[in-house]
Amino acid sequence: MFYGACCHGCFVAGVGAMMIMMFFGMSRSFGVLHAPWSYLANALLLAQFPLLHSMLLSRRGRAVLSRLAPHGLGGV
Amino acid sequence: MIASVQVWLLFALWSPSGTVWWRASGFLFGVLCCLYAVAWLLLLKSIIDAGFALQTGLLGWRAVARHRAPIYPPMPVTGLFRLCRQPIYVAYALTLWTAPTITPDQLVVSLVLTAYCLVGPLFKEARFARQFGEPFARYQQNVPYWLPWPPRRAAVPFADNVFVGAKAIPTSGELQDALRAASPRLTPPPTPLTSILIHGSTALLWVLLFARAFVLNGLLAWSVGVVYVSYDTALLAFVFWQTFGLAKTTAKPRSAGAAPVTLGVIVAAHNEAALLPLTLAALFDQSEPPELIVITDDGSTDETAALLQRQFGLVEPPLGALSAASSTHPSLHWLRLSHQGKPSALNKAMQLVDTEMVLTVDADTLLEQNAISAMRNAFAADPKLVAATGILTPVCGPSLSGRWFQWFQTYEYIRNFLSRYAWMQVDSLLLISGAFAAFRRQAVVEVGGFDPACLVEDYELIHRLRRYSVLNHRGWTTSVVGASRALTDAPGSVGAFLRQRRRWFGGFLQTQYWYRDMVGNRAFSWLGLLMLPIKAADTLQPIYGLTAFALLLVYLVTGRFVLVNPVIGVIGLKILVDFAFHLWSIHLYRRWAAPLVRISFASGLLAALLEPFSFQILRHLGAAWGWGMFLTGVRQWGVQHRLGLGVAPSDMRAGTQD
Repeated sequence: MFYGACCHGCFVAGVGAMMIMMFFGMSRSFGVLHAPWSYLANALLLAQFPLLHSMLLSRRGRAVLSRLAPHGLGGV
Repeated sequence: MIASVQVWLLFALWSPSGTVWWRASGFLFGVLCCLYAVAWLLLLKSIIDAGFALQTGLLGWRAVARHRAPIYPPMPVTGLFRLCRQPIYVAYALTLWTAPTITPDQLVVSLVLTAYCLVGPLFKEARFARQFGEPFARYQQNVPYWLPWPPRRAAVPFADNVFVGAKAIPTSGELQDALRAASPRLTPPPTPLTSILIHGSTALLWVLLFARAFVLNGLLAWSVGVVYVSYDTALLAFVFWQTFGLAKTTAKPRSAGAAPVTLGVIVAAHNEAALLPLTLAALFDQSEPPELIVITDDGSTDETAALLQRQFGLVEPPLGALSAASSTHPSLHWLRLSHQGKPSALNKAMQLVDTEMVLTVDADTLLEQNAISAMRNAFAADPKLVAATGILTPVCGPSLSGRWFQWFQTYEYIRNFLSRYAWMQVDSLLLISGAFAAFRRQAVVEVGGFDPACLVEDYELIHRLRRYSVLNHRGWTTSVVGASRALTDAPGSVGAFLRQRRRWFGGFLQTQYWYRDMVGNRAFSWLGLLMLPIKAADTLQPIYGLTAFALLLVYLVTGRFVLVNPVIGVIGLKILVDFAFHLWSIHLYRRWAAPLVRISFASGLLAALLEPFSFQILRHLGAAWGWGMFLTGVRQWGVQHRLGLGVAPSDMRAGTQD
């Protein structure tokens, strides 16, 4: 149950943040860095989603994922 | 769960720039809020259609809690999945572009994530192809990838797949099995990380360069254009370097000891009665005529049947069978088929021909008198040669637009053939024009023939031959034969030209995607380490070019001459480089290929001057449309209206040289 709560809690937090921040055109957020460091940090934040997401859904990535959850269900 | 954390990190920890370009107000604010809400509802609906429990992680943790194995939902094909194959990604992209506030931050995030929404699902589909096999292949055939518009019609001739098309020609099991084994489309390999990084970095670089237009001043604001121009110049330098020795090259006669190679010609024709007599006359007039000529009539509804019977003494064969030899030309036969598209027609003919070499000639392509002899020589001299292309000269027709297109395409074809020669020097030639191509028949049969699911079956076949050769240690090569020349009909109007380039580029993207395991792969030598990474960059070349042009227009319209002047300087330098390359290419081409039409230096220089602002933009537009074709999966194109060869002056058809 704890695993389930974590799973759905993360889902709600992620989607909620996305919904609200995009509504305001990414003009409000918790990040406080200024240029040029903000460019670097934002670029890293932006790159990590597509890259890591695609990597984790590859064959090798799913094998890694399956080890991260009970009963090998991380890939689900 | 990890994806949720990633999303939270991105949106919660973003450092805003503080700039707000525009914020909707009043009625428009209400409209955009509604659209934003609808986009999120569509996303929710598509998640439900895909399996809510699976998408939200419920399936996994519930299985853990119940100590039972999870029951996975079937492949999603209902609800929004009936309209397109990736509704989750489409809906998510919609949420990105319907927010009521526009900031530079939002633009960058939207561009990057939309690009991901377009490209990311391709990897998912490769996984689905492995997981679900043929049902997924069938689903791919019937439902477009991303945009539900225009709707895909069932049983589209060129979308037919030999395995799934209801009307597909029953090609032999041998050919089907060979295609299944050799095609990465049907047996997708895992995508190497190198390939993902090469393709991803091309897209990421574009986003970063484009973003500079909004944060920098001076020439650096036009970084996307500077990189585009530098890339093109680097390619020209490569071609110059590799073709340097070409001026001294002469065609080699067949050595006395070389065994003669038997050759059959396949002319695939669909409603080409107007041009067939010309095409056949050119074949009969060859200095070394082919042993066999097969007119593969792909379900023509025009005068083709009457023409073949009346003028060429052929007796109509049953559907799917080869006729007896012509009473007037003993090498000529007629293969009558129901309309299935060129690749299927070529496959059928390929199985009936028994010569060592096969020459595929489009019905709108006229061979010069020594074309076949030169091809035979090339194949006799090199037993490892499995595919070769001749030199094509475009003919577009006498109208004003026809002449305009012929002018630009003539120089474009010249550069392309020199480029092919350059890539041949590093054993990386991939582009063999199916309009006039020679193949070693056994090799083509061994890899499964032409793939009917590809928009550019000739280009795909060469990839398959090369991939198969490396994986099976065959050492096969491909070549350009400069002494083998032909005229071919080319588009002479804006619409026809854009449609052709859309198909070419859409097919190029298909092939690049299917053969992504070769990109950056050392096993393929220069092909994998240089040619295919360059092709990966080429996938976004039109986007780079159009963005650079659009930015220049914006600078001009808004009077930002501080930016315009250095940009014009860069373009001026590039035109000078193009001038030099045009002179070099025309000089080489005249010596190497002894062209069939007048090629003048002055005309070539004028073309180099005007091309970046006219023809090149059209090329990029056609290619960008090809992206749409690739993503929507539409595989049908309009009827080509022949404007060139049928009305070309007879001296041109006879091959008058400068």
